[in-house]
Amino acid sequence: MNSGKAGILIVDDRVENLRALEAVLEPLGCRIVTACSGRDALKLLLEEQFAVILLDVQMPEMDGFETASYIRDRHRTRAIPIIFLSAVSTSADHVFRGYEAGAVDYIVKPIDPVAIRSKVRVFLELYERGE
Amino acid sequence: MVPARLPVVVYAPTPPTAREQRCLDGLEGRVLIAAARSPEQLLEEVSAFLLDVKAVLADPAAPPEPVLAPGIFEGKRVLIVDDDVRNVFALASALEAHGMEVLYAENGVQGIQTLQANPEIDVVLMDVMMPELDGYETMRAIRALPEFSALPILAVTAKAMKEDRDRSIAAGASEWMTKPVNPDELLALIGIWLYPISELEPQVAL
Repeated sequence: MNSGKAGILIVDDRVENLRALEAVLEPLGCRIVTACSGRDALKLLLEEQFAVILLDVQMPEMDGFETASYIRDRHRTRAIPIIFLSAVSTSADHVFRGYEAGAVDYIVKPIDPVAIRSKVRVFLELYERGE
Repeated sequence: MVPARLPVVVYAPTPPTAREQRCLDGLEGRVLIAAARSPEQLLEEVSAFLLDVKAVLADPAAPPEPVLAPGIFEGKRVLIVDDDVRNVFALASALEAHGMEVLYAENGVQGIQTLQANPEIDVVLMDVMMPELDGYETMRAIRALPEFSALPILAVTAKAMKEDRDRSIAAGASEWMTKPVNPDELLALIGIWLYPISELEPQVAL
């Protein structure tokens, strides 16, 4: 199932955020796939596996929590680590909801590039070791 | 040769001939002979039969076994055509748990393209209520292609109205179901359509 190189899925409804994160993570040298909605993310997840998903919480139509619940309900995608990205301050309630939805991490924007690169690198390595 | 533990449903909507009856007599007790007049009735009879099979096979000492023989869905490919991927995600889990590969298309045009690019697809689940090229049109277009004339297509309708059902069958559906799709019912129907009766006909030595 984990065939091919580890890939990152970035989901955010704002294109400028997707471009910014792509630039930050590009030095990791892995495949980066972007989606601008929860639904587009689900379509991509039907076709391929990813080592980690960066998931914006505040999205129109289907927010990050709802998207994560679909991802978690499917056996094949249940174990993919999800890092939530939020513009809202980390109120305990919001963070708790994030972890309930299956997040392994919850990061508040604006994002520290060094921090997010190391966090993502960890999951890429875990994925490749897990084969 | 019918594997001993594989439940068999013989669908006999018209009374069997004498020769057919002799074949069926030999299978009494191991198969369900369904003479249902409608898909819902058929589904009811099959579901009840499968529950009976489960009860018969149940043995407290033995480890729990799946009702359907393991492996019958392994590697089978199902194409789901639905404009809302969320519906698909929920079903995918159930189908993938049985080893099936799920392909997705979000509209009729993509559905036909995906089918032509993947002719080894074993069954199609078609949402009839889609914008633009709706499910009925899509099914007609698929049936117009000779290589897909025998492909099982299960239509998914919003309501159990007779017009929707008749329209689905007229457009080329093999079977129909209503939303929301129950994963266990879907698996039962896929099982029936993947293993057509003609392939299970007993070898009668004359």
